[in-house]
Amino acid sequence: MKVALVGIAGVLASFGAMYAICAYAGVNASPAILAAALAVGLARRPERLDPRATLAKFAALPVVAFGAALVGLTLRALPVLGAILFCAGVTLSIWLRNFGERGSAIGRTIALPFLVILIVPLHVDSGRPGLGALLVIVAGAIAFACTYAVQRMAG
Amino acid sequence: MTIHTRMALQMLVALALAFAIGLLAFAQHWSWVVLTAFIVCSGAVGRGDAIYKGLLRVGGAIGGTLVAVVVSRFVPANGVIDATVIFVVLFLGMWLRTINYAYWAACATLIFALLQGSQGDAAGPLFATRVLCIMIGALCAIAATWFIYPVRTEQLVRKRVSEARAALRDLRGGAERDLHHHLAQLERVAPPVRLHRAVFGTRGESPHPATLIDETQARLRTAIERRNVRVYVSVAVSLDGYIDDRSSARLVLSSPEDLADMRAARELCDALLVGAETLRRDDPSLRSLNAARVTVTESGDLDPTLRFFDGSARTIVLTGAAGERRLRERIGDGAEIVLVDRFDPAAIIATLADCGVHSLFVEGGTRILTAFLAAGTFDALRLGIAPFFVGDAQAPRFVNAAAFLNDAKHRLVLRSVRALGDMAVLEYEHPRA
Repeated sequence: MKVALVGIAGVLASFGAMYAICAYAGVNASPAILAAALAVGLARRPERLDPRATLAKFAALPVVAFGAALVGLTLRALPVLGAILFCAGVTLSIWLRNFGERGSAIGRTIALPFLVILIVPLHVDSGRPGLGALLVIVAGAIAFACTYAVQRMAG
Repeated sequence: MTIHTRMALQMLVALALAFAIGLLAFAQHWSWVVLTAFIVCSGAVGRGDAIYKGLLRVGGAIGGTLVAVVVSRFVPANGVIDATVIFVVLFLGMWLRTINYAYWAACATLIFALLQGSQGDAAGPLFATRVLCIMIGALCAIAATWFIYPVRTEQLVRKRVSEARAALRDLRGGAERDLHHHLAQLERVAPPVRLHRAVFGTRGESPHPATLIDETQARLRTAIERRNVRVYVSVAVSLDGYIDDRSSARLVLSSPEDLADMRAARELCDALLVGAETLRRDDPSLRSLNAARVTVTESGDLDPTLRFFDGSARTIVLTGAAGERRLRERIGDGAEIVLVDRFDPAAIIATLADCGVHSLFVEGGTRILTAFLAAGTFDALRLGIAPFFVGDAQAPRFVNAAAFLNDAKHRLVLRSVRALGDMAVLEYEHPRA
């Protein structure tokens, strides 16, 4: 029950923060749903990271989310190429488990955004692709920051 | 080939199949096929596990979609209501996922349906398509785990059971083993074989794999319960770290206040442990209203007239095969004589746990204290410091030289410092990993 309460608090915080940013930027709520979905994935497996690993994940998740979003867009424009990239990304995330706990952690970070783009297809404003890319990165950062903050507060 | 490379190849094939079928047959909804293949294949530890997760996914999706149809029919379309329902369902899913994945699958499906419903795509008409996509995705994952470097579930179960039983055997020999790890490993492979037993029953003469798991888990849980013994070490020392002098009379280190406090602490424990050498030298009374008295002797060389054997409390002597005969001849029924495989703290605690001891008060002497403190086999240390010196290098010290687990880099946690009469009493906590 506590894990679920902490998890939903992280999801609500991520969604709320990203929704406010989307409203301010005048774009649809798709990045807010992306942030919430990422927070759901992060809440499923709470990790006790040291400060260095926390920073590394904080930096990595938005980058991977952006990469996965590009794959998601490729899946819509060039489905076969997108499918190949998707399969490669997910296969890599599992194969990395061969390299111990560190490899598994990197693999989980890679796999999460790929799972999320299947659940929440991005709707990018074709007139402002740069803004769309920026919002995906911000969604990744906000999801991680909110989940981490809520988990820390909950002890 | 490692298990992870094998799982990565299975995932690659499952996703390739799902993409091929999804993109060719379900142009708009290919993601439902791929998502299911991803979920069912992800972390599947064997063929049975993939089938089990596939069934849960399909069952959960059907349940979730039916609820979505009902919700879309009776709850008016409204952004705020939809959002509220979505977050409530999400919370329920996150909570119930710990009970069974099917609940999460149902809640997730309901959320997708509500999200799409809010975008003008009603859940009802797509029900059949959704279920068909999910079934095909599950079949893609099952096919990949079945044909690409497959792992037979029964073999996997027998391997895990064998590992757990080896750990239990090692434990009886006094070795430290992470039984929780084996319990979790068995639980991970258990659901598909339990489902198989529920559906097909038990056939044949050899026990069903699910029965093997249940039996082994019961033994692991019992062993964990028995090993959950709290150890409290108590010692009084002089300012220069001695627990006695070399005279025949016992050196009194504690003040009356410290003695009273220490005896009160004794009463909280099931048993008091004192080494045989201390019994022979000091003949302590070990007075306690409730606690059993315990000693450890390899030789069995104990005098039956010692106050330890006065019969006023339950008395346990831990010994090896060599000491057992001598003790039975000398003490007879005056104490419970229990064989211990080894004389290290882990084996002593495991054996005492079998005797029903859940909390142990360790009082000395030097060999016993050194063994327990060096191995870190204690939860708390009570150290009373008497305000004088012994000053005899041949006198028994608090501990002998040893490789202590708690060195400068692994410090104990100081919990309290008290003045009891003229004694300083320090209490340390040793958090067990």
